[in-house]
Amino acid sequence: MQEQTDIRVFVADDHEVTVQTLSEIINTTKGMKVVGTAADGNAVWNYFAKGSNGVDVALIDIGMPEMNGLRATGLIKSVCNDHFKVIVITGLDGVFFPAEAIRNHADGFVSKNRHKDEITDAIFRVAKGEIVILPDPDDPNQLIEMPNRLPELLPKESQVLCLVVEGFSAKQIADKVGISDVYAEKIRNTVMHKLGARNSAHLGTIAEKYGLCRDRSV
Amino acid sequence: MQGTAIVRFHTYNLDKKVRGNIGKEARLIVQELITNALKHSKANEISVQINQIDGVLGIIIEDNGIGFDSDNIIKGVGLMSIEERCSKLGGSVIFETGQGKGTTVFIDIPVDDKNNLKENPLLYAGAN
Repeated sequence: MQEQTDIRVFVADDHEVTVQTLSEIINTTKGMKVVGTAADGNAVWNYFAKGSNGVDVALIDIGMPEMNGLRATGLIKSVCNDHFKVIVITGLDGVFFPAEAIRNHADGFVSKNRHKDEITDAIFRVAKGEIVILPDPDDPNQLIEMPNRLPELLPKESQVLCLVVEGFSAKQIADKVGISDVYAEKIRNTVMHKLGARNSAHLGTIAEKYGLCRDRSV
Repeated sequence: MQGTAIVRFHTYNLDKKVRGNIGKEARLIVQELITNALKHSKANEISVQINQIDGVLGIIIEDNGIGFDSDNIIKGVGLMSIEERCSKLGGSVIFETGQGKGTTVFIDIPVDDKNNLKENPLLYAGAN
């Protein structure tokens, strides 16, 4: 009976000791159990490429080889149903990590510097549908920089944004994306509005701040 | 014969209620454009975007179909009805297409009553 109600947790981290420690914490907490682990981003993607694989909550480390945890989170959330939740975890310094986790559709962000009870509590809360942000207690700026969930950009909007940021002219952007000047200008205006940018320079600042063009290679 | 296509629908910033019959007219315009695309374009993907930005309801309908030669097109009832509807709302329509290049339709309808009521007092006739 208890088997059916346990929250099924997946742990991804490139440090074996961390995986073991987190697994022990989870497996000794009533109501949750670890059902799978991975040590790099590609392994995470392979595990979830066809759906949640019966996992309720995945803890995914940011600093993993092959593919970082933020990118892996964005990918797997795009193929899994809403019941499946992701908590991004990290021990790295970075004031924008909570924001980037949410931008990649994570349901939570928890610093590894948090107490084990806070980590298991976050798993319970996220499984129930809450969004939980527990930044590094020694880095309060992480919370200050936490924005509201950024509006979603459509694929063409992301393309235009990054080309604007790279300094291409309206005509060059239209040619590169394969659309008309009119369409390129409309997309640029929409992106400016979605991100609350005052001008192209401000757009660049916002894109940099939230890593919106980080994965692009133009 | 009507084809089938995946229609992706995206909206942004539509939380504000637009006045009068703009919402109803916009829905009819979108319906007509999707119907046209399904009937004539042979597209298998249609994207519909509706954004409300700076007092303008912007509708973009894009398909990956066969397109048409815009210089030689004889406008059917459907296209003329769209232009007429937009014109009545004080809006504009732009068709971008070419043979084999798909079709993108841009429609802008002003919804900011402060800016447009003076210029087009009939726009909000029938508003509740």
